[in-house]
Amino acid sequence: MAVFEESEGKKDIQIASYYQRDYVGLGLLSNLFQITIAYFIILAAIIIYQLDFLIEHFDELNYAALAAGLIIAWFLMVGIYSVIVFTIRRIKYARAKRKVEDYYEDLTDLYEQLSEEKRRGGVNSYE
Amino acid sequence: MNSLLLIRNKIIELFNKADFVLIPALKFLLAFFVFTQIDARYGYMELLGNIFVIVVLSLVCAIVPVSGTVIIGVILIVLNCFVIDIVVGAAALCLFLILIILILRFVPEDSLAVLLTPVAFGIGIPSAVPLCLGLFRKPVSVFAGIAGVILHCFLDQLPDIAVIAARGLLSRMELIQKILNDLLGHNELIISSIVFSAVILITHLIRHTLTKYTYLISAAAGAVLYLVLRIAGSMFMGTDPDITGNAIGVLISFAIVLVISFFIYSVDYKRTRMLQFEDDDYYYYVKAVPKRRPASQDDDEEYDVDENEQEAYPVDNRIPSEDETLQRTEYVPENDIMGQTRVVMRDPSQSEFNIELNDTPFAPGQMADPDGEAWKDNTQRIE
Repeated sequence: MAVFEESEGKKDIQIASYYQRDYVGLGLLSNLFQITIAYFIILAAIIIYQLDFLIEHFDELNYAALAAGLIIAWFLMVGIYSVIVFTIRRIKYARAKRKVEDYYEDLTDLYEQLSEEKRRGGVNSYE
Repeated sequence: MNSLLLIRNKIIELFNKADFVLIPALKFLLAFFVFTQIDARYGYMELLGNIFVIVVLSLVCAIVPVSGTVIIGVILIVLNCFVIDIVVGAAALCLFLILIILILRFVPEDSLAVLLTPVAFGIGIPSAVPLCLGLFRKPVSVFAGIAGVILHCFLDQLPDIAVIAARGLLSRMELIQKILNDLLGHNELIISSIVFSAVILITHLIRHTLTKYTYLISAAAGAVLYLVLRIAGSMFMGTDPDITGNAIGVLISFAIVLVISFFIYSVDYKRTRMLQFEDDDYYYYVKAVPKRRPASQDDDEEYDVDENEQEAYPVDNRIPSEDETLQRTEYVPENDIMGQTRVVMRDPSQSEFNIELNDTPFAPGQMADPDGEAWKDNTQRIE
């Protein structure tokens, strides 16, 4: 149990301290911000890469369709990664919860054992 | 083969006794190797290429987790790119951000593989990365392999970019366009991504399908697959397949992977842990030493304990009776590197004191007899 506390248990106990809905929700919110940042970086890279084309056809571009395409692309990117993050977070939460429940069961057993020893007066003396 | 197993057991014994020295030493060597390779191939900043700076950074990496090596390696690469030109540095920073956000946050344990991929390409053993990922990691590590290939393709063009930037041949906008153009048009990008993915998946599949000599067969299959796909891909793209160079690189990678898997898969290595916990009355400082099978020539087989034989290191799980008030910490009576076995306890009602349970180590079997001479001689009891 001490080994669990010192290593993987730190993370698992922290995860299990959340409600599942909150843990998954936090992950999705963080994912939204991160994907938006990545989206704008990729968009900037595409604009720079195609800068000559954009300047050449500046007057001919259908900006409404372009904007719609960009928004749909953003939604797609956020949607796909949200599904991935949602799945991963739920699995992580379920695993952490199970491990922490086992840990608390062992802790309860240990406490009962200690209480029994105390009742028998065997804790504070060593022979 | 028996002598190899004996050597392995000796090394593991040494590792168990001195892992608090050996593991930082190995981390130092890994970090030193990675940083010197980064400096050798992409080192445009003199300060960062100074051997003392590299040694100091490697010493830092020796005491932090392995992810510290990755973070410092990334910072070194980005700083060197900024020295070439500010737009190159910005491009490197954006590339790392995209890789982290889109790929590496799902496989953070494989971030070291991403950093090692350009290093492996540089020293001619790129196949070591997918073989290691396939043998020791999960199928999802494919994405880490692809991220490593993308990083390699970006860094591979740095020497040309540095020359162009130094001579001022292109404007900054044109420089970014050239970086993007060379990255997307790099002939290694598609081929290496496909080869890495195939090798990782096939190696992992074979590793988890067979039951005997799995790591040997899966490593060999992965190596052959890498060579075949690499040569076929080069011929398809119309580039020089360099059969000799690829074959030598694959052989060296195979040997490296075999050595690593020999230690990882042949043993059940658990590290010694220093633990601290408390109850209402005492603080406990415990050194948990993993039990090991006795070193013998038959050590690679299952260690069968005869039910009629007493275990060498029994664990006392009995609830103490009213007469039994002995309370002791469970541990394996193996000598630590100082040759002592020691428990430190503090009673809040008394002044702090140490209990030296043993100045001389228990001989095997002495722990089994709590009423024996060894315990009477060596145990101080608190009334």
